[in-house]
Amino acid sequence: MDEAPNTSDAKSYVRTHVNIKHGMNLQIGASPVSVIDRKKSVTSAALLGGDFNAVKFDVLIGEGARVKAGEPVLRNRHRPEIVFTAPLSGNVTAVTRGTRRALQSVRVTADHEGESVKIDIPSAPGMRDVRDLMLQSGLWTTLRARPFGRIPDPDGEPKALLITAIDTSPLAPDPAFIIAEYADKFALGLDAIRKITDAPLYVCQRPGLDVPVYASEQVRIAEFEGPHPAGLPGTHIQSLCAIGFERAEVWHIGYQDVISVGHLMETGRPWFNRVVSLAGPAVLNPRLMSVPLGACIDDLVASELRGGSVRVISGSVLSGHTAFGAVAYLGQRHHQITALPEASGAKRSWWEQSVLDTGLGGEPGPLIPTGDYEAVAPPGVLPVPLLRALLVGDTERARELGALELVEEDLSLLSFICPSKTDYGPLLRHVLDELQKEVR
Amino acid sequence: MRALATVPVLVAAILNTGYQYLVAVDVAGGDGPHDWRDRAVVSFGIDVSDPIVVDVIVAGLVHVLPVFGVALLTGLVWDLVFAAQRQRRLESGVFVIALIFTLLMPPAVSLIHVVFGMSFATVFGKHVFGGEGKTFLNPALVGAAIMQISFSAALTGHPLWTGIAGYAGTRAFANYHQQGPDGFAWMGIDWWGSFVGNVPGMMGTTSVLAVVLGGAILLLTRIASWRLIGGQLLGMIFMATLVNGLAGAAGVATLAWYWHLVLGSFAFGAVFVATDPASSASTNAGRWIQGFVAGALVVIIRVANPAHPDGVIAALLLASILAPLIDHIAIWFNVRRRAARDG
Repeated sequence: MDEAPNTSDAKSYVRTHVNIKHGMNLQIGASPVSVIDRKKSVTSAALLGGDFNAVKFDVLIGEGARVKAGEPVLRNRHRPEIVFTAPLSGNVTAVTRGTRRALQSVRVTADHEGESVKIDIPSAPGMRDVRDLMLQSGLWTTLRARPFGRIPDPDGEPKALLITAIDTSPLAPDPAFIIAEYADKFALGLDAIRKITDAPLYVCQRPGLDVPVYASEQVRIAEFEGPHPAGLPGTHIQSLCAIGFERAEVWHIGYQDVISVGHLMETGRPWFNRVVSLAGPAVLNPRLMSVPLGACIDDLVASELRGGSVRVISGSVLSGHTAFGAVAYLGQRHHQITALPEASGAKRSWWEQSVLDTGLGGEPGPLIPTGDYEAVAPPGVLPVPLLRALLVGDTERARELGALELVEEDLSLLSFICPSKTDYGPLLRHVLDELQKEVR
Repeated sequence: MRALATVPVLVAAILNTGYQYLVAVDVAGGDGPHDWRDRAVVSFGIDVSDPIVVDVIVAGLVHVLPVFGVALLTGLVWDLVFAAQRQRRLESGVFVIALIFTLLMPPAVSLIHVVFGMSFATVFGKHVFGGEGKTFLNPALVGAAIMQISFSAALTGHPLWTGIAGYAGTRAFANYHQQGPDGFAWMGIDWWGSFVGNVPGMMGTTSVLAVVLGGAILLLTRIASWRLIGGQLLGMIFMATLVNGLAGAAGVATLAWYWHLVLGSFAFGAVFVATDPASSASTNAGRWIQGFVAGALVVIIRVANPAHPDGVIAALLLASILAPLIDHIAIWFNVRRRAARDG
């Protein structure tokens, strides 16, 4: 509605420019310095069950057993070809389950021997070959499909494939810097990934980023300008390739996962590291770090934080998870660690709570439809009607208003500004679960 | 914040009410209405024939403060009753509701009537729908409307006030209807006077200047929707120009839009009453349409029934009632556009 995509043939590929007007860039501390610290080592890493929606896991390697990096540890019970691989070599030391025996995490304690599984790469891989390579190496699990935000069906066919080479979350690392650092592997990865589908492949990025990509008619560049949520796949899908209800899917994958695919194609091993930012008001030295996948966050933030009570979050403040207990590990798709001072426990009087800062403290209230919601809503979405539909669980209305293009993270700004203190993410997930039952 | 934005209006209300009162008493030969307000003013030793600014403020406070105090107390009592009955925390909005309600009252309103109106506003305007943020009408507006319906003669026909000049927005429209522009001259109403607020009327609604100042605060802090306010302005201008151009336009129908803007409660209603987010449309398109409808309805009611005190309260109530329907249409268009896009 607000943004008119215009296409022009600037380079050899089609370029789309989208200007996102609505949104909000939270200012919560110094940006991370663009220097990658490669000295960090961790004692353990973990696979988190919460990173994958509605997957029933079979545990292939139980507690106490040895694993090499890249060795399958978990398997999707309903799609056994989808495996989840160990992020580093060592011993499986804990398989933690939460409510209703849902898998919380599988912890691998590092032995620092660096043994890893090598996969043979065929010389000229076709579509099926690349898909199999990604499945074997565990990289398939970095793909996500909308609607519903789940790991795509290995035999499925998307309407479009999006590479998310932009990150607008507060304090996120600059993708342009990291892609430049790993330019060769990114180009290799992109070239491999485009083979998994015949559908158009969009590289979603900030304007001016020169993506190292072999010219191909299949590859298109989509430039997104504006504040957060300009970097979320939900925003990209709304703008580029809306999803209907006739089982069409859009797949998306992060830029670091593309680098990992390139690494796999070059060396036969996926990239077991990720570059993440460590930043936030409670961080002494905000910077980028190269750390193992699923790295133990307690190890990463040791002696990096200011004193006092600090909340450490894997991912952005808007959509990450608090690193605590069994899930104190880096999330699979998280590129940042945020540390905030915990709100002081000073008790306010009822007068202050109910009158002065109803937006922050106080008790849950009603949704009051001021214009604030429109100012941060995903493009083309009517926020108040959608949130109301979610509140009452009206799946049909929510679908009509665009719920299928969204996942939890797309509503995080709306949850942030809403004075009712409702977290709309779980409500959306509930509606999506209901909708998926209809599709089956 | 919403309360802070009413400060300019409150100041204007106090100054103008005091000033109008002193003028009225002076015109009546220094002989006040001998009610409790009059005795209070006299007891402060105010020289009615030659008042200074402090006298004006005191006379204004004597009129504004008791009404606000009684309204606030009434609202608070009902809030406490419902909070206790529902075992919830006390709501915070009673202050603003009482303030808006007070500013919509004429200066000589009976305090018993205030208790009644504010009770109705709090109980039937707010609590029966579940409390703050769940209302479909602005509670203060509901209270003012029930007052207008129940005590119309008492509100518009106080012997002292109407004897002198009549309420702006009440007698003003009736006089204009009968006598044309001469009616204004006879009442001593000019455009700039009405803009600044130097005319009799509902306590808080006479000064468009003060409303503009308060509105600026509301818009800068993004509390009020500029679309709602803009829509009302457009709707009012559109409808006034339309009826001006109609063949056989007579009476209020010939009144230009800039008079509609400054007379009566239009400006106050547009900025402080209609922008209550809970009782207005929840889509941007809906806000434009609801505003436009409200602005047009004000002119229609004024033209169709010049004897009606103002038209603003009724117009805003109707527009609020229409808001869900307007939203429904806006949502329908969004859904249809999505369906077409998805193919």
